[in-house]
Amino acid sequence: MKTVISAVFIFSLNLYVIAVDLSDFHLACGLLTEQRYEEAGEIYRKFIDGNPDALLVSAAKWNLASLEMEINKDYYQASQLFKSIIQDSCNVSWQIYSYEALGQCHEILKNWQEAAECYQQLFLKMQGTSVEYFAEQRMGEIKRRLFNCYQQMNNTQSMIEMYHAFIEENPLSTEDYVGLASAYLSVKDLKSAVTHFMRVVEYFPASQQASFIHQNYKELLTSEAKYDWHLFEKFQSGLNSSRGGNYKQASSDFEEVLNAKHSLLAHAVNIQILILEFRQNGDANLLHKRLGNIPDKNLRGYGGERIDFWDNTLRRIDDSKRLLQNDSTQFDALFNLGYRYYLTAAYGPSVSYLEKAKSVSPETARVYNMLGYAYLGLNNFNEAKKNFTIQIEVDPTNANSYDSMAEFYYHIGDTSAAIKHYSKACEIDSSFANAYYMLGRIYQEIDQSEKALIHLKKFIQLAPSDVNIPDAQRRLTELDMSINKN
Amino acid sequence: MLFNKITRRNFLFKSSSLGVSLFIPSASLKAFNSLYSMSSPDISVATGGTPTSNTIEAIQALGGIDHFVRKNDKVVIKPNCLTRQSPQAATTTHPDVVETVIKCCQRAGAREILVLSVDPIINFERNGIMTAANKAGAKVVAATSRDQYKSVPILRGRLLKNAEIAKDVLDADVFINIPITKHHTQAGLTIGMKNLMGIVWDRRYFHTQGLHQTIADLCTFIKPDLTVVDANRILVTNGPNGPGKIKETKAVIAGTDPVAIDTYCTRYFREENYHATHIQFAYEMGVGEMQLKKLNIKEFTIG
Repeated sequence: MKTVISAVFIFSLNLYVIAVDLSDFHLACGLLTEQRYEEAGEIYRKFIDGNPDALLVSAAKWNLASLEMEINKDYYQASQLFKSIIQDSCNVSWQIYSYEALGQCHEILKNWQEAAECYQQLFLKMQGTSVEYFAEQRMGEIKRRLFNCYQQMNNTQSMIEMYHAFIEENPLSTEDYVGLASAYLSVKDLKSAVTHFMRVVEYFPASQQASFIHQNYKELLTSEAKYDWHLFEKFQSGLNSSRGGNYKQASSDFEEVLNAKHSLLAHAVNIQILILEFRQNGDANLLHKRLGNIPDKNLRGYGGERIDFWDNTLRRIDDSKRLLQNDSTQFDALFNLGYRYYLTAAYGPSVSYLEKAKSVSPETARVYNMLGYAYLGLNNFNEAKKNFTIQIEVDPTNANSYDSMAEFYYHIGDTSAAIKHYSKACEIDSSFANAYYMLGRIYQEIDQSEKALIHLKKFIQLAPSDVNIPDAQRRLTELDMSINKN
Repeated sequence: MLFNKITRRNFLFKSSSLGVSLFIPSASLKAFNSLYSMSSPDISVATGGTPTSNTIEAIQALGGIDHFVRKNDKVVIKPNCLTRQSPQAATTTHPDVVETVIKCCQRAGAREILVLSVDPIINFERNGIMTAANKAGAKVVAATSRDQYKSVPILRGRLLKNAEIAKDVLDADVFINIPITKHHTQAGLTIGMKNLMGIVWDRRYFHTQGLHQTIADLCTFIKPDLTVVDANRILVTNGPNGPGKIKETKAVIAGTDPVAIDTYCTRYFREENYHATHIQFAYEMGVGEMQLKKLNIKEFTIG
């Protein structure tokens, strides 16, 4: 009887120990959510030290590591905890997620080699498992982070391997073709570099990357591949005319390329002809259907036009039109149509819907703004100026009103009026970054290097992640060199 | 315990056990904890009755609604409101379950009862939940605007590091999750934990990062005070929208441990063998218990 009582007592005691251990863990979790970080950390440490083999030790270490990483910004401490989870836990998911987090810590600490090893281990661990640890997009992000590590380590061979993997996953990724070609160039493999540059030029001639190659590697491709640029340049001319509202010229250029029976460029030209028609008739539904039926979509996409942009924009145009069927005076739908058409460079339909939006709500400044730009796209300078002027009248305290007018003057080549209006925008809002950028550009163009420097530096300070930052930095380098020279 | 924080109600007990544990022999606290947890079942399962009677009995078996809701509490109830279909389709929580839970809360003296989900108001209107809520005296909140949400850090998350959660849920004294259990193409199953995505604004992030893990991550932050699962009729194929095969199971499952509840409900899908990995992930992270043999489960049939 005594033995039975002792056994029951010991068993009960074990139960109590388990209960308390878990309550410590949960208490720490509660404190963490309550943002009582110090107390939470203390209890997690106590839990880990007191129960090194408990089921939730990995979870406690993870929570403690997150605390170090996210709150204390102590990436070294965090990395030690993640390492400890990897070493001590037999659980695959804890290992996989810890490898990812440890990789991130190493990246922040600029330990590129260690970070790369973490991501490599992560991919190894994931091989052969059917469990979805990461969605496709997150996996893509991790691959890009591994790639970045190789880039930081100047490990060109691994970069080349990864570029090939990216291209295999997405054969339409023109950025990766250019990256791959550049990597081949850096290891003096001209033949491979030219092959991949050529792929962009011929399969995706409407892409920014094709223009970039034309601008920077024209001679290389001419000398190494004997590439005749005539048809590509004719295509580019057609593209610029189409985007600039000169449809007759565009049509003639595209026809010339088609007549030359260049089989690779023909794919892109046929798509541009469809887009040209759309820019004139505004039939988004028809273009969407036609683009859906084009052959070779998986291999050549829309010939360098962004598929996601076109699919998304055309769908939105269609949605807004459907809204107008119920009420043709809905301002938001009218304005959205004007805006979406403007984005596709279909300036005629854009103006048409914006004029309707203006008649519904003549006191709204942004309609005049958009109308000004749409008329500018059609090269109708009188109407553009008229609308930008009204925008200033309707919204005189908004820096953007002057910025838009300045852009109009810059577009027509009236530099001094552009400077005047950009300066006014800066005067109204000293944090209006674009005006500083444009002033920097204009001052550089008219050889006022000191003023250009001041404005570009201010722009970089105000908008460090702006899309124009690389251009501003390039200009700064040029200006520095020119000032030092003088 | 709302969003796993130390709420007004349990703050005193937990704080004292943290600070006072220096003075009170730990065995006493251990004994208290253990006795407390043994006083009512972890999961109660009422079968054989109507949605209403099953709901009443399942909650009663846990110790009654008074165990969760006090006088003047603000209560937020989250049903599954994904579609506009009638209860026959078994894609949304049965309105009778919603109505019963509301009435229970009212009897407990709740000051304000909201029936909330991210879904559009037309869903509430068509699937019968609006009528049920209005009849029982609760307010319906279709949380379809971003300003109804607040960003919170999810420090314990493995992929999800912050999320925008419905303010009403964050402000509530009591949060009751009343999902339906059914098949879900992407998540394997949707029961309690998956249903919590319906109080989050930026749900697209879940799908782009890893659905199972982000659901588990969310549950490290939000822990409903009570979960009442509508398993009266179960959509076992072609979920979450249906139409698909429906099983008549006539059950309501109630409890406070979201992992345990979800684990229990997987038994309704044994033949289909769906993989709801988020349950396993949440268990690994300490959100709740997956080993049902460790739990006190009270199953009973209503005559």
